[in-house]
Amino acid sequence: MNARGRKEVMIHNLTCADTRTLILSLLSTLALFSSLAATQATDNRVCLVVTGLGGLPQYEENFLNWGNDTQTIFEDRLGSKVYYLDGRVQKKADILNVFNEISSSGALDELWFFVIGHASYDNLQYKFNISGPDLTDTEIKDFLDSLGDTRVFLIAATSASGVLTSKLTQENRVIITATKNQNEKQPPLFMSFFLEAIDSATADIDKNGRVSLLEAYLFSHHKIATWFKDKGRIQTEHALLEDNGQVRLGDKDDTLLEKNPGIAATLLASMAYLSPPLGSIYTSQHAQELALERVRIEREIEDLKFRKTQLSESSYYHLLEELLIKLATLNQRMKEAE
Amino acid sequence: MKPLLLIFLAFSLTPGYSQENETDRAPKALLTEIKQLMHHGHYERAQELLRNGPRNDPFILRLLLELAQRQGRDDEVNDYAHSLLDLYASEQLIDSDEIVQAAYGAWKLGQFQNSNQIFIAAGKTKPTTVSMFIDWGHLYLTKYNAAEAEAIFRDAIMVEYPSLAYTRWDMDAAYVGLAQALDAQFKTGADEALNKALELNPENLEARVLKAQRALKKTRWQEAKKWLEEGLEINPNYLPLLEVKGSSQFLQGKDSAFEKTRSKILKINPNNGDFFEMLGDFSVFQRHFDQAIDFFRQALKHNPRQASARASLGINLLRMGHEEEGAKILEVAYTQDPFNIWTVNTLRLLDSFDHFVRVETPNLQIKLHESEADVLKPYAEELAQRSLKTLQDKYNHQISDKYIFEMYPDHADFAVRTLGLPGLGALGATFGRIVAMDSPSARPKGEFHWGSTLWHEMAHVVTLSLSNDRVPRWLTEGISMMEERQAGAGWGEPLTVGFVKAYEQNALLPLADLNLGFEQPKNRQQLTLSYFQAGWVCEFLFRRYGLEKIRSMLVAFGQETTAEKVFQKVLQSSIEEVDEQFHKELSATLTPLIKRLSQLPSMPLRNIPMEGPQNTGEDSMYNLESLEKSWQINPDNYFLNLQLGSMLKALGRPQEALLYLETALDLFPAHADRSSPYALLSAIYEELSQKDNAIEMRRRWWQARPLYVENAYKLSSLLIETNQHQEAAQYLEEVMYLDPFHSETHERLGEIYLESGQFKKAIREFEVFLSLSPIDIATAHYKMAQAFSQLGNVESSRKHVLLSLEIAPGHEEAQELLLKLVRK
Repeated sequence: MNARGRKEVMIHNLTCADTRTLILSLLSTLALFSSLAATQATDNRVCLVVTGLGGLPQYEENFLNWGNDTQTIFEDRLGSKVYYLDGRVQKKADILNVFNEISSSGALDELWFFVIGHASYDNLQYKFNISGPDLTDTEIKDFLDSLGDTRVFLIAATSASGVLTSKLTQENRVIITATKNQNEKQPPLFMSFFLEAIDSATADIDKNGRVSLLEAYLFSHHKIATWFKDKGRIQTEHALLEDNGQVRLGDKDDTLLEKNPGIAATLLASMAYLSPPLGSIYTSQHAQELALERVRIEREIEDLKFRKTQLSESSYYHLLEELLIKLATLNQRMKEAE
Repeated sequence: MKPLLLIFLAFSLTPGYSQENETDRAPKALLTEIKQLMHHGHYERAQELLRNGPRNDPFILRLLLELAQRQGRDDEVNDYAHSLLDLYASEQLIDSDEIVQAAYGAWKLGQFQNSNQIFIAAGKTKPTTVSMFIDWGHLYLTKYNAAEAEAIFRDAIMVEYPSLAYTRWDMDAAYVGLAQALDAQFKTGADEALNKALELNPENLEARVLKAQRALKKTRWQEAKKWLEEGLEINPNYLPLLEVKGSSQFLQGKDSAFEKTRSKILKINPNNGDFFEMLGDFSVFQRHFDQAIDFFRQALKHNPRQASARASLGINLLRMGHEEEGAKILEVAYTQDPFNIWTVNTLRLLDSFDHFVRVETPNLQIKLHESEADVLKPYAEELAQRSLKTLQDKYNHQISDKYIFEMYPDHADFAVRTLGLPGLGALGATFGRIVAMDSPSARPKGEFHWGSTLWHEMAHVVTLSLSNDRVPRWLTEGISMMEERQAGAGWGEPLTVGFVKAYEQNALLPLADLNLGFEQPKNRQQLTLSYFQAGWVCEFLFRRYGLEKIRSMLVAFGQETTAEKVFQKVLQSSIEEVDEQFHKELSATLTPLIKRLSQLPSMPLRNIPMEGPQNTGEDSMYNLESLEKSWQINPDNYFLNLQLGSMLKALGRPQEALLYLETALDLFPAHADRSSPYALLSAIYEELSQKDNAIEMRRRWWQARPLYVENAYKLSSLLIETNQHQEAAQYLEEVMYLDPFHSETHERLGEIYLESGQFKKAIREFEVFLSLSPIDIATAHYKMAQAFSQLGNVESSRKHVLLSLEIAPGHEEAQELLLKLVRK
């Protein structure tokens, strides 16, 4: 993604999350997002994984396993450069050094930042538990702010992480936290389900063959609720997602995506994937032309979904069916062309 | 007319009234004499003396009030009550017991909060008396706070020194109050308290009233008669005794005697609603709700201000399914008495009905909470209809009325619905035209088979209807327990170690008294044992005499004969003879188990595994050695085999564990919880990769106790792995009676049905799956579209394929189906 591309996807930060205003704002940028999604294949991407102190052997084992699995996914599958820091042995100074190294290494397209472990909040600061002095939210914020236009995906799989959403939210950033606030202090299970999502066909909600960050979040959110319910326990973690400083998912009675299905396609998190892009299977000129036509129809479908609440149900589904038939027919023709 | 003026007039018209006595208090001797006259029924003489007493004496006014109340002279009651309050307002009541009379006045005017405040003021004025606590306790009892009343009566009992002055009540009355408070809370100890009251005062009337009432509830007519005769000898005009006497006559069907007593009561007080309310309460106790409704209506006809009777009328109308009229009456009852917690809770419950979805079937109106109706409806509706039809056919009896069947996700709502009906099941209850039970979300998983409970309740519907609501509790519960066990493999309650121990310790009730185990159990354990025993009795009757005889017993009970007559008429045996036969058979079954289930001294209770393997600590080897020594002597002891197997498994010696656990299973196959040989053997076979054995053991476990979802999931997974999909589906279907809210079960079932061509069932499962807000909505809609397409329902198929593609436009299979549908 070049500098021009990054400028294009920026949206004005909405101070009011009024859904109607939000929809109109997002609608205007939908087409741009669609093109972003189609082209997302980022070589200039860095993944930073920091695992913290476990305290108890079972926690330590979990944190290390989750950290290692994340490293493997980004290194082996996505071909990203990965920095892995083990907070049992690497201290704050080591982490800050890596922060410096990343921010001074030149313009990055994307940073994926995983924080996995125990954390707390002392009414002033979020503190991630590592050997020696803890890593604080201020230090994380300074690091992220130093990255300029780099798109940031922060996954804070720690206790008390909910507090980070308000502290770090900003355009061009997706902040996912394992807990809804600083008061959820149990070691979260979030990362376990998040990693499960990456290889799950169920998590691939839109059946496009890849699991997006949004889909992984929704899968984990659902799985956590089911896990606690099945065990008959009170749910001690409720994950949140803050997207681009505009949209927040995971609050109680959150029905944003249910009521406005078109919004999903506009989120930064829906265009960030945890698996590599599907290679082009179209070799003939004709098939490639049809593929471009398909992108156009897909955009039209997303446009229509955005307008769902403004149309009568019968009109909406009538129009949707027309577009879907076009899309299905086109796909068939593409297969035949190959 | 101002109250004081009226009092003045009343006294001034009384011959012998002296102006000089105007500010005096009546002497203690006079008050005591009047109290004694009243106690022995010489009400006219008492009235005469009272009217000659000093007009400002609070005790005189109190006794006048009591007499007026006895005869239903409400205006006079109000006037005396106002006078007492005026005395209090003008600070003429000095000591504690005088102030209490004003509290009593406020109470009788319906000023309950004010009354309580005055009692508090009296309590702060030392010295306090036993009598003060007793009046105060009765205020709380009247206002449905029996727990607080109990505490107050206990305070009364703690008062060390008797008052030297006149008091309305003595210590014996405190014990009577305590007994009432205990009864109201369904607590034990009332009999002991009443005995103490009679020991302190052998002439206590109220203790005899309660003793007679309690005897009537146990249908001990002679005992009740004894208490009533003793009491009426002391005071032949004591209304509460006459009311119980009339109730006894009614319950025994002595119509002419009942009419005579009824006339006598109404002659004393033509506005007496208490008598009819008591008859209503007895009818509720017997679950004759239509009859109860009639009596509560009569109570209100005689005394429209009787809010408690109005509340009972409303509640019982609801029990008979008359929701609209019941709700209206309860609204009025609430305005009359907002303290009645039964009224308030029932009205709240009625409000919550707005959130229930109603499903109509020919015999049932099914009410499910909106939050779970989509999930429960298919299974609850099917099972309710199937069970009712099966049972109606079996007992050759078609029910004519429509019943309301309610499933509550909140156990508190179920509790409100069944409030005041003693000894009901903790999970479900059938009364009047209502069948109420917990929904699966009201209970922790793995503890509640709602299908089994539903079947149990539907059996009540049939047996109550067949017997015209006259079947005794032991028989209707016993039949329900039996029918539950016959409804499905492992349904109902299995034989427990506790029941074998109870049998060994001779703790089972004689058949003639089994009803008491339900209606007045000594403790929770006795209630549980009674359910179990009743079930076994019915299974015995079924084997020995056949179902037709059980049916005949139900019909015979409907003809209002006694249990003894029913047994003679239908079985040509006395209850005792049948009980003896039952015990003979029970002995043959249980005696061999007693030794197998004995607790050996070398095996402390803590070593018996209750939830999975234990004792893997340092002393395991020592325990293992000592257990093996014990086993040499007692190879047929169930617990020893189980413990040894469990320990060897935990020590990583599964092959050795198998021998002991298989022996344990043979010795007592009824034990099938999570620490049972079934669970341990299943785990060992899986550990040893003996898949077939694991499947077979899990099958046996499920058939013995289909209560543990994890067993069904594991079993179905193993069956799917071995391509036995249909059998896997069968177990997953049964999981719905435990946990219908698990979305993956519906998804898996839907897929099995889709693959095996059972498209309607597949649609049902995917519909429920979608109602549980799953993640992968697109696939579920696509599969529904496939099923509809297979059934030839193009329109529904098209709708669902669109819904699938709306979420996942690139879903290739859905695209293909869409094109196929369009071309059709």
